[in-house]
Amino acid sequence: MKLRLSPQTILVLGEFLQSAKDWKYGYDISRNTGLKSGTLYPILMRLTESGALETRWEDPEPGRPPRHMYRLTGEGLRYAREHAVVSKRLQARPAMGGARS
Amino acid sequence: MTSIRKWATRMLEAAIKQAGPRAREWGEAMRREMDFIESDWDALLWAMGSVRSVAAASRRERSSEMRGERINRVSGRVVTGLSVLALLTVISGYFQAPQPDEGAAAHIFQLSIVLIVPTILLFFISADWKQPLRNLRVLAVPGAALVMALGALYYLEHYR
Repeated sequence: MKLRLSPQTILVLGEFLQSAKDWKYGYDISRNTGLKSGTLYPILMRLTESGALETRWEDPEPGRPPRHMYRLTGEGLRYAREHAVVSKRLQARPAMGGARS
Repeated sequence: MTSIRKWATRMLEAAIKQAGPRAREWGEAMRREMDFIESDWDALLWAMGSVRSVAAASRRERSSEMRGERINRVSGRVVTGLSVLALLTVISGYFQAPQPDEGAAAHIFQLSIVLIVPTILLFFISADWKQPLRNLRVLAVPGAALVMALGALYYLEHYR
């Protein structure tokens, strides 16, 4: 799977990893990650096109239009786990020029 | 519904209406989420970001469609050119005395036939199958030229 891994994409993948099996709504992801719709949706589109996410519309209920939902695919889950680990390692690495013993 | 939210909704719906089919579905998804945003100003910001996302997705969709159309148009022309070339090389054989070895025309014929195969595949892959008649029309001339070329070659090799 080839994806441009921006910090925002890693944030979105991390959000999906919180409960990998659950379907998520766009606005909930936006609230939890702090990403605006103009940033979040292009990421969701890219993740879907690359096969990391699957999407579906909620089952329709009378008087309530369905919402679009997103979930990691098996491949997406593996990819997210792999890159979440990498991102945590990068965050844990001390800044350049930091104190050395 | 307040006027801010109404305006935000209209703006997003107008962008969705202009979008391509895939971008429209994503736009509908963003539009639906707006109903769950409590603050009108946040809904307006959401709509503005969504308009940007829908427009970008629509642009990408159109440019990828255009690329596919261009590949299809060019491969259609190349197939026509190669099949006419194959026919012309066979016809040229009728005006030459029989030679002990294959001449340049025979090599050009073989090469054009070999090149037609991947070009036709490219044509089929990039074709818009919602318009099958259009595709068949494009292939009519090369198809006829190929049948004539192979028929003429058969006649040339067996009866002359």
